[in-house]
Amino acid sequence: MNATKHPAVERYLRDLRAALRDMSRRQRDELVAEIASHIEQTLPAGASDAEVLMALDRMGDPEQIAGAERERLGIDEPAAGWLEWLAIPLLLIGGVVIPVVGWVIGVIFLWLSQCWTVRDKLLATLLVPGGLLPALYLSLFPSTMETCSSTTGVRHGQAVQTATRCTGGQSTAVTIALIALFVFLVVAPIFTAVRLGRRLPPPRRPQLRSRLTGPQALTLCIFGIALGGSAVWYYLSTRPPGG
Amino acid sequence: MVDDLRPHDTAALPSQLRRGVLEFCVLALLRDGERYAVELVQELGSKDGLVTSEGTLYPLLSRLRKEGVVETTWRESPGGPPRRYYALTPAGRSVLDVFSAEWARFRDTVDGIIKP
Repeated sequence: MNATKHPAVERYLRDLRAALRDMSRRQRDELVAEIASHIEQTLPAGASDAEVLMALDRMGDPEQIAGAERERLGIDEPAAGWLEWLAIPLLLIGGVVIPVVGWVIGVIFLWLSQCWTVRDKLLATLLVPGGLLPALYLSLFPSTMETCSSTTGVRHGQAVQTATRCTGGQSTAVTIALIALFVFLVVAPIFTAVRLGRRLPPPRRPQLRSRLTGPQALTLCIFGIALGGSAVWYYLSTRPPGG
Repeated sequence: MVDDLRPHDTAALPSQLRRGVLEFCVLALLRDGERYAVELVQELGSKDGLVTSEGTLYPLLSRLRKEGVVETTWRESPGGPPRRYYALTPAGRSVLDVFSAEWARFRDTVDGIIKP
């Protein structure tokens, strides 16, 4: 088996390609091809996993390879700034806070940024347009959700629910499909937002690099609040009034 | 990037020293004739304290090629894919000569100061 087909090598080359995002496509292709060729030439055909990992370790961290020339030439890598850290929450919940417009501003910021590739941007725009707004809309959409009304009577001075009438209820299959759609509409924008955050260049000073940086933690908090909020919203909007 | 080197940051010292001289070491390895990339990279990688990782040499080689100090030719290799061979250009040779003279002078000056 060709050494470059090893899963660890494939993952390494993919990470390398991502790390070289600010290079022109031609330069990037050439560099990745050379490093792939180096790995192929230095690894024997039936290399063990340990040999593969050692070769990759010698080759070095993709971010370090991408950073080496920037450092030598004094070029700043495209660092994530306010544009990126505003774009992510705007794409996710901007459309909910300022209906539709907030999301559109997020999309504009997304495409203005130089930190993401065109593929990242397309995915972030199309999955899901509006961010969490479609999920919210679905949870409010009256004709598809069961609406219940109850009459309340007064007995012994206490309000007691005496009858609940539900209309517009759907069959179980439709309900399950709607719940699945709702889950997708919540999970997909969050997935895209997390992905955008993860694909931002790491902070400049490698010694300060940790698994979770401040801005990432902040964004995750916003995601968490958005998710929790929409769950509560969904619960409140589907719960029969007075129930 | 200037803030990378704080006054007593000795951890960053090797990389600061390496940064300026690595490309001339590549040129020097090509002084006696052409070599192919893997050979060049493995030789530099085996020298103590010269490169942090082999991969960082590939962007450097690509820049040297663009600057016209090295040129490359593709050659068939026995029982493998074609290999890219690197050789010094006349411009590269004169850059190397200038550096060698400058380095000798610089090394002597620094040695003269830091030796007790």
